[in-house]
Amino acid sequence: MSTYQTLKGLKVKFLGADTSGDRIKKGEIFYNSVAEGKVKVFVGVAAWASGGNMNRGSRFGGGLGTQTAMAKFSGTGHEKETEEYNGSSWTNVNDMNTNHFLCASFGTLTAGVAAGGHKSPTPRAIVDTEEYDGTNWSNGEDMPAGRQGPQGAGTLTAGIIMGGVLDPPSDRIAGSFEYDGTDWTAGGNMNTARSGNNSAGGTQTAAWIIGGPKSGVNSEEYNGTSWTEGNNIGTARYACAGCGPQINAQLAGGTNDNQTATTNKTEFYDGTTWTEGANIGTARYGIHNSPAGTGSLSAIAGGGPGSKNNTEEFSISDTLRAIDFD
Amino acid sequence: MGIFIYGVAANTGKNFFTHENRRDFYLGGYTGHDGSDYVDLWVIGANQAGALWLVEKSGTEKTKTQAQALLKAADDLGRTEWDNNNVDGESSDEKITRLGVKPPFRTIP
Repeated sequence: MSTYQTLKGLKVKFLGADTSGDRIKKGEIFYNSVAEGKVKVFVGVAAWASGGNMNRGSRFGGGLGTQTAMAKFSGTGHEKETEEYNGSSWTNVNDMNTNHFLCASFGTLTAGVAAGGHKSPTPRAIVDTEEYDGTNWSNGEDMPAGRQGPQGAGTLTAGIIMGGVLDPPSDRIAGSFEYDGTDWTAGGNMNTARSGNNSAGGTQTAAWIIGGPKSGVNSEEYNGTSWTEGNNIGTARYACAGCGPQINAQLAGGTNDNQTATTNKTEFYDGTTWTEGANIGTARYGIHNSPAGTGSLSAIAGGGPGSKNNTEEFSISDTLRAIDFD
Repeated sequence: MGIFIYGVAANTGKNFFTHENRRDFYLGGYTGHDGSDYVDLWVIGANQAGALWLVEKSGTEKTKTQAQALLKAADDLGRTEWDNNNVDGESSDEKITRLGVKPPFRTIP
């Protein structure tokens, strides 16, 4: 018969308390021999917790950075306004130069990009690109064509935007553009035309994207040259918050094709399979995301319906669990 | 006791709900309207931890009917705002492109 010692090379430690400093390691089973007489283990548990509230609620804007170094900008009612998050509170910072409502965004707080977006009247899709250095927005090269509701991935010097709507004509498009920090060039065409901002992630040579109205549950992956079909997500949606590399990606919230059903579901991607995870606290769509985050550590803010101002943070925390024996 | 407790409590931001809270009880957030202002409406798992959380957050418990009415009031405002947001010469399809579809009525679980 196998024993714990045979399998792990360890004996179950007898400890006098649940926390005994460096004698406890995550995943290591121990026996609390004094206080409770229970077998216990520290395990990582994933959950969303509330973060600081934004100063100005909005939806369908952009996001940059990570959970503790994040920016959100533009969105309904806040055309050029930008806020920064430090993992605790939001601070109003310098405005953008152009309204980037319904843009693509990618990169970090100190090296981020906003590209495209929506304006009125027609032509509604804008070509403008702006770069953020953590203090100021500056204009980058215009995209070769306007895009409203495109999606972004990568970094300032190796980024990509995918899909969007030209308007006119108002059809979704499958093309992509790649950015090197100076110039935009044509990228590979996706198999499915999509739009819906912030539901993508990864890098310029290993990007992923899901959803877009009418595109159901399928996902696609990019290798820097061409797009291939990925495995399906569990819940059809678009206008989510996405982040992370292909092997550790995350998708939160979103809405159905006609924005009549908003979801609080999340899904996580390991490069092969999408798996449903811990729900966000408030269902939302059109979310400001943290594109440089990962499937293990991220933040989301704002979104609709309405213009929410609240933030949620995803992380995996070590938690003590007792093992019950029948 | 039902599956859920319903309540109103202002989301104060960081640590308003924690990882531990999320593991201890179901929590779903909505935006409602009480006739004078928007309110944070919560659907909370009906266990001891959920009930205590609402009390700790100085929340006000509501019946399901009251909670649904708060949600409907917010939806009414959103739909009216959508109806009144027009641009001269814009078609209905163009309006949907600009604003999204008219917000639907939502139902709490």
